[in-house]
Amino acid sequence: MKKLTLFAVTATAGLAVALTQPTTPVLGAATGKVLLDGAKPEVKPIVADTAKFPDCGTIDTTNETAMVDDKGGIAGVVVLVEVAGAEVKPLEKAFQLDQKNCRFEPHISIVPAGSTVEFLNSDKTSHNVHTFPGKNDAMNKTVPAGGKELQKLDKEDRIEIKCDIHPWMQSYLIVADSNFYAVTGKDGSFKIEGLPAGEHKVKLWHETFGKGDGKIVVDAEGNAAPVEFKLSAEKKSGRSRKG
Amino acid sequence: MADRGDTHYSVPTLNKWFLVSSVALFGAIVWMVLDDWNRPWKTYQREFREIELAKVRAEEELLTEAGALAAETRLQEQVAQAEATLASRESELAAAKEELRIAKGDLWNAIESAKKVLSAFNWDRYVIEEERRKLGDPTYRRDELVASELALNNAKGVQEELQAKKDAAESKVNGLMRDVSQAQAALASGTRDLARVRGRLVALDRGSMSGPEKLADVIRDAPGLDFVKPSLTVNKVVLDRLTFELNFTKKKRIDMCQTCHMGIDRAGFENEAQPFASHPRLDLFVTNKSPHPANQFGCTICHRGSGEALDFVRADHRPNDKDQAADWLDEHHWHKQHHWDYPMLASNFTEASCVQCHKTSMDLIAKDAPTVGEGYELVERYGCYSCHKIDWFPTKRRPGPTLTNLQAKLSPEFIASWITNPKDFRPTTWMPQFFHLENYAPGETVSISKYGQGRPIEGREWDDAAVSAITAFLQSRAPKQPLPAPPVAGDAHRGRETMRLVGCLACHNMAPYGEEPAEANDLALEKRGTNEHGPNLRGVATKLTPEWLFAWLKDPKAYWPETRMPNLRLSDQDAADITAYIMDDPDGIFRDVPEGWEAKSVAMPEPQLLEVLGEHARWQFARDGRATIEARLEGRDESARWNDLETLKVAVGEKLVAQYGCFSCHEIEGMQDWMPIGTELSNWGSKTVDKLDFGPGAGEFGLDANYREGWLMQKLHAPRSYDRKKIKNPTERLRMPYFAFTDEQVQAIATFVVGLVDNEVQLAKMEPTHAQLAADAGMRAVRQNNCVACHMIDPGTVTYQDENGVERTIAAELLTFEEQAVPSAHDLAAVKADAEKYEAEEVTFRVLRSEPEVGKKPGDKVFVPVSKLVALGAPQGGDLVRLVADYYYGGIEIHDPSLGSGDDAFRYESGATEDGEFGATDVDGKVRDHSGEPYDKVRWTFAPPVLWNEGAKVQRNWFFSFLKDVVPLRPQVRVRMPSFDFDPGEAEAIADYFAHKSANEWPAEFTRAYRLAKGLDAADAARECGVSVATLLEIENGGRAATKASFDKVEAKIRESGFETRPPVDPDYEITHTRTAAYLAARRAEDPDHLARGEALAVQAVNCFQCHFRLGQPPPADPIAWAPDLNLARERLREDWVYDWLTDPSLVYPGTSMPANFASSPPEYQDHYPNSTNPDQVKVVLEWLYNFDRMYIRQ
Repeated sequence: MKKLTLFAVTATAGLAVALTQPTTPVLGAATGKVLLDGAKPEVKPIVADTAKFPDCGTIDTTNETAMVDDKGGIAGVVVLVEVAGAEVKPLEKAFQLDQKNCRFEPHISIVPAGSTVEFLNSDKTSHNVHTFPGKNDAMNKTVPAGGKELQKLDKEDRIEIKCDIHPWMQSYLIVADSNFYAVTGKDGSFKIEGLPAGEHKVKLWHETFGKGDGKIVVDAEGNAAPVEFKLSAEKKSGRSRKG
Repeated sequence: MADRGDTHYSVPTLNKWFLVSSVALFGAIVWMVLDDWNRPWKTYQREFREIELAKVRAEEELLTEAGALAAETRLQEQVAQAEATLASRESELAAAKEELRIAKGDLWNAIESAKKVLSAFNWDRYVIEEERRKLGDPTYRRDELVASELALNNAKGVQEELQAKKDAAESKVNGLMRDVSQAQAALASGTRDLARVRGRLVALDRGSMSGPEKLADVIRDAPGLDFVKPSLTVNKVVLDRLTFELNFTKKKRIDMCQTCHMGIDRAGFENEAQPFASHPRLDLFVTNKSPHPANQFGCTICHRGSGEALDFVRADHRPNDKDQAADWLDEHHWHKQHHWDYPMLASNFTEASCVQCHKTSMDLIAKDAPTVGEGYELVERYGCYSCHKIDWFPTKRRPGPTLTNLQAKLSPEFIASWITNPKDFRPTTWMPQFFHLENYAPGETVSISKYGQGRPIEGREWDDAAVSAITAFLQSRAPKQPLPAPPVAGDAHRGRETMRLVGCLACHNMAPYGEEPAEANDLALEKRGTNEHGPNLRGVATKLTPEWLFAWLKDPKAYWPETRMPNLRLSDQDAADITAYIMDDPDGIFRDVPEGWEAKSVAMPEPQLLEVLGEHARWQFARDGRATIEARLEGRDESARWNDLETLKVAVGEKLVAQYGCFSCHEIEGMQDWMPIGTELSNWGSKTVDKLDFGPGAGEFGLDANYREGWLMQKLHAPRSYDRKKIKNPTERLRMPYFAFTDEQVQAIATFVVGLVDNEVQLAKMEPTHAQLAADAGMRAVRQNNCVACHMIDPGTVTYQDENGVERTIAAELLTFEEQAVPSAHDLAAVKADAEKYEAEEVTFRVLRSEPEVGKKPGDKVFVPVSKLVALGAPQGGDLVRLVADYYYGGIEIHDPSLGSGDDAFRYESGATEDGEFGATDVDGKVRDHSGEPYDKVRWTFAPPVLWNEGAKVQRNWFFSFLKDVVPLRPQVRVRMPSFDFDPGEAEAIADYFAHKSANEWPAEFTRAYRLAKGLDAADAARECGVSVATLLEIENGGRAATKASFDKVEAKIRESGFETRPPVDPDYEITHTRTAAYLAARRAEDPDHLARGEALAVQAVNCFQCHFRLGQPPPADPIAWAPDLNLARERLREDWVYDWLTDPSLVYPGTSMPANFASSPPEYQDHYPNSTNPDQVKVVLEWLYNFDRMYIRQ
C-alpha cells in the first residue's frame, strides 16, 4: 500500500514534469547496495529483561544499531535521492510507527516533510513516545495500550524516538525533503523507483556509521546501473565525545 | 550753584564728587545686578532651556511625522460627531437629567429620614434593654421594639428603592452621554503626547507664546527684575530627616544640586554633557517613583560634596582621574575644598554610599551595585572582618581552618613552607603573605643585635626565624593524635569516577597553575567561579596523609566545625576510593605542585637560629627587662630555658602569633577568645583625612594622597608601604599581610570600606520588609553554601535579531548542535566556536518561559543564525550539570602528550571499569554506556535538578526540613545533595527565599502567559488592561518601576477576561486542600469513587510505577528511567504545581523525561474513568497522589 501511494505520488510528479516538457520522460528505478568499508563491528544484544517486563511479551534483543551481513551489507541505512526541481509531497495517509513487544517498528523510517506520523502501541503495556527532533516540535506523550498519537512533521529533520519507560526502545524517523528515498534491507540493498532521467545526488545516513554521499544516473530509457555505496566503519555518528 | 563762601567746603566740588560717587555707585549696582544675572547656574539654566526646547521641537516633529495631527483631527471629528448626535436628542437628555435631579433629591430625603428612624430605634432599644436588664424580663415592651425595628426596615427599604431609582436615572444619563464621553476620553488619550509637547512649547518657546506671555517671559528674567518671579530659580530640596554634623550641631541637609543638574530627574537627557545629563539609574534614584526620590534623599547623602554650594568648585566636585582634574583646572579653576570633610566621591566610588543604609541587605542590592557588592563578598571571602571588626557584618566564622588539630593533617615542613608564602604552594589561595615583605626586606637591617652591640640582623634571617618559631608554637598547641587507617581498601580507578560524579568538583577545581594545556577540554580543569568556592585541589596529595583525607571526606566538621565543606554522606568505600585516587594520583593532578615549591623546614644553622630568635625575644619580651631576658637566654632561668632552641621557638612563636593575629582567622588552642588585632572598620569611611598616617611613603602608587580612598587603595595594594622611609622598632612595624589583590579587587574592597560610615542617615534608613530580609538572608545562604554550583536558579537569556532586524531578548537555553554531546557553554564566544566546529549556520535555543513578544511558550524552539546572535546572558547557576553530563558522554579526558599532538594528545577514560569498556557506574552498581542517550535524558536524569521557580514547586516547610535533614529524592543521581550543617536560620532563609522569589516572579509570568495565550501585542494588551505599554512591559520583565497597584489593575482586567492560571505562592504556611477532610467529604459526595478512579488511572492505565518509586521499591527499569517516590509527593510538592506538571510536564521543565499522560484528544482511559475529560483525569490522579498514605500505608 505504501509503495502504491508512493508510486502514485511519484507518477503524479512525473506527470507534472511531463506537461512542461516536450518529450515524455521515462521514470526509472535505481537499485543498489550500501556496504561497510572496514571490519564489521561487534555489537552486543540489547539489554532488556523479559522477566521484569511481562507485558512486553518476548523482547527481541537484536541490536539494530549496526547490523552488517557477512558480505558487508549494512541494514538500516537511509538513502535519500535529491531530484532537482521536484516538489516534495507529503504522504496522503498517516505513516504508522508501531510499538510492538517493546520495540519500535520499524527501527528506521522515512517520511516526506509535511506528512503525519501515527504512533501506535500494539502492546499490553503503556509506552511514552518521546521524540528528540532537531527542528520539529518535541513530543513526549504516553500512548496507552492500544492507543495512538498523531503528529504532523513539517520540517526536514532527523528525529530520535525513545520510550523512557523501556530505555532500550529507540528508533529514528527521518523527515525528508524528497519523495525518493529508501531504507536498506538486511543485505544492505535498496530500490528507489520513479526517478526521472538524469544524474541525481544521493545522501546516506546511518545511526552508527554516519554520513555518506554519492550519485545515481538514470538514462533516458529509465535504466540505471546498480550502484554501490560505502560507509566507513570508523564510528562517525553519535553524540559521544570520546575518541 | 556758586560757592557761597560760608562753608569750609566747596559746593561745586562736592557736587562733582557727588556726581562721581553716584555714577560709581550706580555702576556698582548695575554691575551687581548684571553679575547676579550672569551667575554660572543661571547660565546653565538658560542653556538647559535651549537644549530642552530643541528636544521638544524634535519630538513635535516626530509626532507630526507619525501622523499625530491627523489622528487628532480624526478624534476631534469623532467628538464633534458624538456631540451632534447627542444634540439631536437634547430633549431626551434634558428629561433624563431632570429625572436624575429629582431622584437625587428624593434619595437625599430618604437617607435623612432613615437616619432619623435609625436614631429613634437605637434610643428605643437602649431604653428598653436597659429596663429589661434591670427587671430581668426579656419580654418587656417587646412589641414596641419590634414595631420600631419594623419602621427602621421600612425606611431602609424605601432608601434602597430610591437608590435604585437614582442609579437607573444616572445610568440613563450616562448612557446618553456615553458616546460623547468615550470620544472625549479617546481624544485625551490619543493626543496625550501632543498635549504634553504643546504644553512644554508654550512654556519654553517664545514663538509659541501669546503676546502677553511673551512679554512676561522676557521681563521675568530680565536683569534687575528677576527677583520678583523669575523662571530661573535655585532648585533645592530641604531634607528634614537627613542631617549632617556641622561643628557639633546637627543641621538639616539642603541640596541645591538640581539648580544646575536640571536634567537629572528626567529621562531623555542621557547623552547630554554634564551638568545636564539624566541620572543613569532613574529606576533606582531621583524620580518620585524610584525607591530613592530626590525629595527624600537629596543628592549629597550618596554623592557627598557640599550640597548648598551653587558653584562648581565649592560643591567640592571630584575628578575621576588626573586628566579630568587637569581639564577642570582649566575650565573651572577647580581645586579640592580643604575644609570640607566629605568631598564628593569619584564616580567609581559612588556605590560606597549604598552600604550606609543597606547593611541589612547587601546581598539584595549586589546586583544593582556590583562594585560594592563584590567588595562585600571579598571582605567576606578573605575574612577581613576577622582582624578588622565591622560591627554589623553578618558572618562571624573564622575564614581559615582550625589549627587545633594541625599535626593530624600537615607535616612541620609543609607548615613552615606554607607560612613563608602560601601562594608558593597554591597561587589561588586566599591566605595572604606575612613574611619577606618590604618592611622586613631581605638584605636590610632589621635590628642590631644585643642592644646595638652585636651584628646587624637582616630581614631574611629575621623572618625565616619567625616562621620556624610560629611553626614550633603551632605544633606545641596541636599535639599529634594519630588517625586510624581507612577501614577498607580504596580503588583509585573507582575513586576517579566517584570524585567526578558525587559532586566534589562543584566547589573544587583542579586547574593547572602554570600554562594550561592548549587543547584542554576537561571542565574540571577550568575555573568557573562556582568551582573556586573551595581550594584548588592541585598538589594536595603532597601535603595530606591518607588517614586524614579519609576522615575529612567522611565528616569534615569533625575536624573543623566551622568549615563550609558539607558532608556528602559518603560510604566508607566511596571515601576510601576517593582517598586512593587522590593519594595515588594516576592523572598527575594531586602531586603536581608549582615549580620551585618544596615543603622544607627553615634552613638555618642552629647557632644562627638561636641568635636571631634571641634577638626576636629581646624585642618581644622587652617589658620583662634586660636582666630577665638575658638570664633566660643563657639558660639561667628554670622556668624559661631559652638556650634550648625548641623552648625559645615556642616562646617567640607565641609572641609572633599574637603580633600577627593568626588567631583572628584560625582557631588556635588557648587563643580562641583573643581580640582581633586590626583597626576597627565599622565607621572607617567617616574618618577624616587628617587622622590617616600618609607618611613619607604616600603617593607612591600614583594615588591621590588628598583623599581617604587613595590612602586605602595604597594600603590594599602594598600594606607595608606606609613604613617606607621610617625608622621603627622591629615589633612595631606594620603587619597587615599582602593579599596580591588585583586592581579590580582593590577598587571593590576600597569602595566597600569607604562606605562604612557613621550612622548619619538613621532617619532615612531602609527598614527592609520581611520579604526583603528573607531574600537577603536567603541570597547570602545560597551564595555561602554555593547552591548555584549545582542548581540553576534562573535561566539564561539570549539576545538576537529576528528576521525583521528587531532585537529580542528571551529566556532560553542552548540545544546541542547535531552530533554534539553536551551543549556549548552559554557564552557567545563558545557558541560561535562550536558552530564553526560543527559546521552549523544556526543555533537552536529552547524557550524557558512564556515569551509573548516572540510568540513562544516554554519548550518551543527558536532558530537563530549565528550572525544574528547579539548576546548571551549566563544562567544563574548549574555549572556542574555540564561537567556531569560530559562524564557520561566522554569519561575523563586526559591530556597525554606522549600520544601525539592536537586532538590526538588526549585519551579518554571512563572511571567505571578497568577492562576498557566504556561506561559509567549506575547506582545499582552496574556499568552502563549512556553515551548514546540524548543530552536531555542524561541531563534530567543524572545531573542536579534545576531550581527555577522552586518556591512554586515545593512546600516551604518540606523544603526547610529537607535542607535540615536531606533525604535522597532521586536515587539514580550519583551527585549527592550534601548534608549541610547550616548556621541557625540559614535553612529557613533558603526555604523562604525560594518561596518569596516565586511569589515575586508570579506577576510577570501571569501577565506573559496571558498575553501569549491571547496572542496580543504589547500595545493591545496594555490598552485592554488600562496601563501604559511601558508599565506592562515593566511588569512582564519584573522591573522595579512596576508598582503593585499597577499590577493589581492588570490582574483584575486579565481575570475579567476569563483567563486563569494557578494562583501565586503564599510564602507563608499553605494548606494542602486535597487532603483536608472538608475537601474529601465534598468530593465523596460528588463522586464516591474519585480516589479509586485516580488509582485506576495512575496504576493500571498509565502505570506511574513503571518509572516512579513506590514506597521505597524501585521500578523495574534501569536507573536511567527512575523517578522520585510518589509517596513523597504529598508532603513535598505544592498542589498547584503538581496540577500543571500532570497536565503538561514539558511546559514546566522543557526536556524532561516525564511524559504528558493526560493530553490525548479525545481523552484516553474512558474504561477506567467513563466520560472523563483530561482535566477530570488530572484531578483524580492528583487526589490519589495527595492521599497516597491513606490508600497504601495504612493498609
